[in-house]
This record gives sequence, structure tokens and C-alpha cells, in this order.
Amino acid sequence: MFFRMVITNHGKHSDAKLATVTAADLVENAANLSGQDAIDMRRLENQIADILEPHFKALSDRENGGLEKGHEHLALSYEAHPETAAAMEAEIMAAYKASPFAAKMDDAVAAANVHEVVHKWVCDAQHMHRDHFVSSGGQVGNGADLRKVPDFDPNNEHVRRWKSLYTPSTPDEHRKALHELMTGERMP
Amino acid sequence: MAGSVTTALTNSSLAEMLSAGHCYLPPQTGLAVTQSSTISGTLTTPLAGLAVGMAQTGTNAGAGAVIATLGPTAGAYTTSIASTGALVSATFTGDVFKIALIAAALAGNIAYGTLTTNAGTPGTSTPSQANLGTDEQAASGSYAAGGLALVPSAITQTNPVNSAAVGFSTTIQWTSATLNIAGAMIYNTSTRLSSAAAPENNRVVLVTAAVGSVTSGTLTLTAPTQDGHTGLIRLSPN
Repeated sequence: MFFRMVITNHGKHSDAKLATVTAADLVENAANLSGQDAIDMRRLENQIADILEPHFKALSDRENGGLEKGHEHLALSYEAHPETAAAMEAEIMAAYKASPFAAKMDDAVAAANVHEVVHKWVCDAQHMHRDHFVSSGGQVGNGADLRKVPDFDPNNEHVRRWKSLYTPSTPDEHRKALHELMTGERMP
Repeated sequence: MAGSVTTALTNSSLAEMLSAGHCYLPPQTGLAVTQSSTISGTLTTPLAGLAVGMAQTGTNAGAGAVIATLGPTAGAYTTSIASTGALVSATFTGDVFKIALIAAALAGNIAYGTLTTNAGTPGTSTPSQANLGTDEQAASGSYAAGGLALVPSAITQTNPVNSAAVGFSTTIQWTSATLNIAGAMIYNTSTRLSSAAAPENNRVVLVTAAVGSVTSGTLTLTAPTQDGHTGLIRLSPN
């Protein structure tokens, strides 16, 4: 029951890092392999990282663009963006099927694993951009291209709800934020 | 003796799980309700995954209302506190769990692990097995005192059904933060049990060792796969 930790100093995880950790998560059993299998698995891992980086870049552009347009972006679904996740899954599965492991592994098991891992990291990436926007007082962008959105409002209802959902002072504050977010209803 | 953090489910939480002390059911949000009185209603679409004691939230829901009874007919329920007006859409939530970070520099000599019982008042007072106190990581960036609220995901059962595992759907991540940690603890902020003296609050479910530091950056914790082998909290007969 151990947590895996990913750390980036001075900013957000880069698109390349997200691609790398997602690929590593997908082929984590490589550590148990030896010989040619281990080499092939590492090759597949690198290939998957290369596949994923442009997708995380597109995700980053979409998130930053949305946050730049308005605070309402914080109220979008927390689920993984369906088109992004589907595109990632399709390309990863194509790479897997072209690898030596296609003959050794169950396709359905591999697909389920890819689905779970991709959705988890897409959610994490989306959350990172939105949380950074809130915690930094309205910053968007990546790396050296971080910039403040001029009309960021810490008292905007979406910003307040984000904080209530993740760092509530009481359980009821969290429950109210959850209800409002999922139903669109506004409670007094 | 220096303090330490050891990964473990706490002994107290094991007993509490057998005492209806934690509700890990995921939220059921925005359910259409037809009320027959201020304390009774029927769900338009009956569904599984509700339990007595889950909180009811929604416009006009009574403050602090929880499900008092379920049934006798499909979708029917009553609440502990009356609504203050018409309630047409309700969200039902189990207990609200949080994950708090344990600082790398442990002020006390507490060995966080199986013997830890409560998070107490994180950030405040002398640390003990019943109070994380000043051993909590100081607030920074999006890390706030008390930690991050977690939303439980659906409890998984393996097939054949020989284990069940609990997980959380929340992204466990902090941004714009400077943190230096030795571990974390997940605790239940909901009051569901009493002690001899008072209601029991902030009961710790598990402690995990997680050593790392970040400067003005992003820290993501990825939970293990929610299954009978690696899940954070799992029950298995073997």
C-alpha cells in the first residue's frame, strides 16, 4: 500500500515528465523481467513516452487556454478528457501490439491496464493545471512561460468551491461543494 | 528517540472497521427525490450504494441530516433532521476522509504507525499518537492545514470474490508548494463513533511512509492499484 511520489521543483510537472511517468507506470512490471524481455520492455516504455508527450502538450494547451478564458474552467468535469484519453489509449495499444509482448500477454488485460493508467494520469494532469491556477493566484502556462491572468479573482465562486472541495474546514463544506459541482445547483 | 513513520493500517482503524466506524461508500450525487414529508422521501430511481448514516446534502436539506432509515419500499428513506423546504435533488455522501502530510522534522518522538489513533488537531499542540499536532507539514501552496479531502471511489471486489478494496478518486497533489515530508496519514473527519468522554473525531485509518521534498513546485502522490493485492485498504480472507 505504498504511494508513488512525483516531484517537480519550481512549477508544474512538464509534459515530458508526465509522459515519462505514465509510460513507467504502464510498464512497471519491467523491473521483474530479465534479458531480452527487459530490453524490449524498456524500449516499449520509451516509445510510449514519445507517443504521450504531444498529447500531454495538447492537454496542457487546452487547460491553460480554458483557465485563461475564465474561472468557469474550474467547474469542468474532473474525469479524464474522453478524446484525449481515447487517443492515448489507441496509440499505446498500437505500440503494444507491434511489440514482442503482444504474443505473450492477454490483450484484454493490457487494454484494461492502459485504460486505468491513462485515465489516472490525464486526471492528475488536468488537476495540476487547475490547482496551480488557484494556488498561484492565477498563473497559467508551463516552465519558463508562466504568466498571471490579470483578472484572477480569489473570491470567484469557482475558486472558492475548488478550495471547499479539496481543503474544507468542515465535512459539510466539502459535501456542499461536491453537490454544487456535480449538480450545477447553487446552495445558500 | 527520534520520531518515525511506518506504513500501516492503524490497529484502532481495524477495530473501527468491524464496528461500523467508517463509511467508504462513494458519493451519490444529484438524485431526484419525491418527498412525502420533511423527513421522508423516495428516490425516483432506487439504487444500490446507500447506507444508514450517510449525509444528505441539497437545497433545503436540514443541516447535518443523515439517512436514518432505508425502506421498507424501494428507494424510500428517512432522515435524522427535517428539511427546511422542498428538496428535489439530493447528494448522499459517506464519511469525509482527509490525507494530511507528516513533516520530515518530527518535533516529538512519536512512532507513527500501527499505534496511531487520531489526527487530533493537525498543526496545533504537542504531537502524540492521538494528535498529529505540530508534526504536521506546515501549510504551503495548495497544502492547507489538515490536508486534502478525499472522495472515495467505488469499493472493488475481485473475481472470484475473495477480497475487497477501498480507494479514492481524488487526485492527491499539491502545487505551488514547499514541502518536506516523512509521510502521510489518512483520517476520517466524520463523527461516527463515541469515546467514553466525547464523540471521536479525526480517527486515523492508515499511516504511510513517503519521504520527499519539493520547493515551490508540484508533489503528486499516486495511490497503488485498488485491488486485493496492493490496495490502500483491503480485506481478504487469505
